[in-house]
Amino acid sequence: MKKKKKILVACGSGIATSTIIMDKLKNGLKKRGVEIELEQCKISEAENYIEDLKLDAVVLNGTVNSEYSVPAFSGLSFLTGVGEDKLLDEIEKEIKK
Amino acid sequence: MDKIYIDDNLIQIDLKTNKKEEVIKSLAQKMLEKNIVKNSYLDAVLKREEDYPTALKTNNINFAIPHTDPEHVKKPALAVALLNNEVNFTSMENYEEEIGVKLVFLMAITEPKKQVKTLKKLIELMQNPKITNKILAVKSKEQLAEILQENL
Repeated sequence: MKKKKKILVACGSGIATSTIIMDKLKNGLKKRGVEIELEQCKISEAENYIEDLKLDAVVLNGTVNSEYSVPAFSGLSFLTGVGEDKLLDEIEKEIKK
Repeated sequence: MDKIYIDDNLIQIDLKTNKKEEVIKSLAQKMLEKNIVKNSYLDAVLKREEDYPTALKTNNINFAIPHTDPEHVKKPALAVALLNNEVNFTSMENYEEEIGVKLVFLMAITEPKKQVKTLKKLIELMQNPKITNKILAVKSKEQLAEILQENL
């Protein structure tokens, strides 16, 4: 059995929007038969988390900083409802690499 | 405590201002009066809004969801402002962009995992034109409280 991929979800305070994004991401991928592990933090802590926890991707609620060492996505679609499926497609494709 | 508290004492429908700080201040004051947040809450929200803005644009409506860390909160609640005119809040997606909003939800969160259902529902309500049209047309804060209590 393949190891579950770990995705970090980060937002400004690490409490509100990232919680919604995590919920939508987890359930969205589950419906597609993809199980993942999730971590949550503040955007300011993201870089440390990525290094320490050996994560596979990061989803942010705000502007995406391309300097992360793992693929980064904007999770905004999960909040606005615009382009949710497309975002799930992209994330699914990335973690199945 | 899981349930997010909403009542008409936490709703404002007649605020006349062009400043987002005034909107946040007015709603935070209501929360303070109801013993929902600590004295430190207002400054913490304002600072966070500067660093990580919270305006969202959907296909349906624009709105803002200012909030801050649980350490400034005593119990979970939602305070709502329906504004007479659009007030600019900075976009969550693009910090260079200002978005005019008529609806502001000031959130007091204590335990995100337990309160995520309500937060998610709130986001989904904002994507539903039937609900948002109803909200934009309310004539009293009691009406607005009722719509939210029924749907959240």
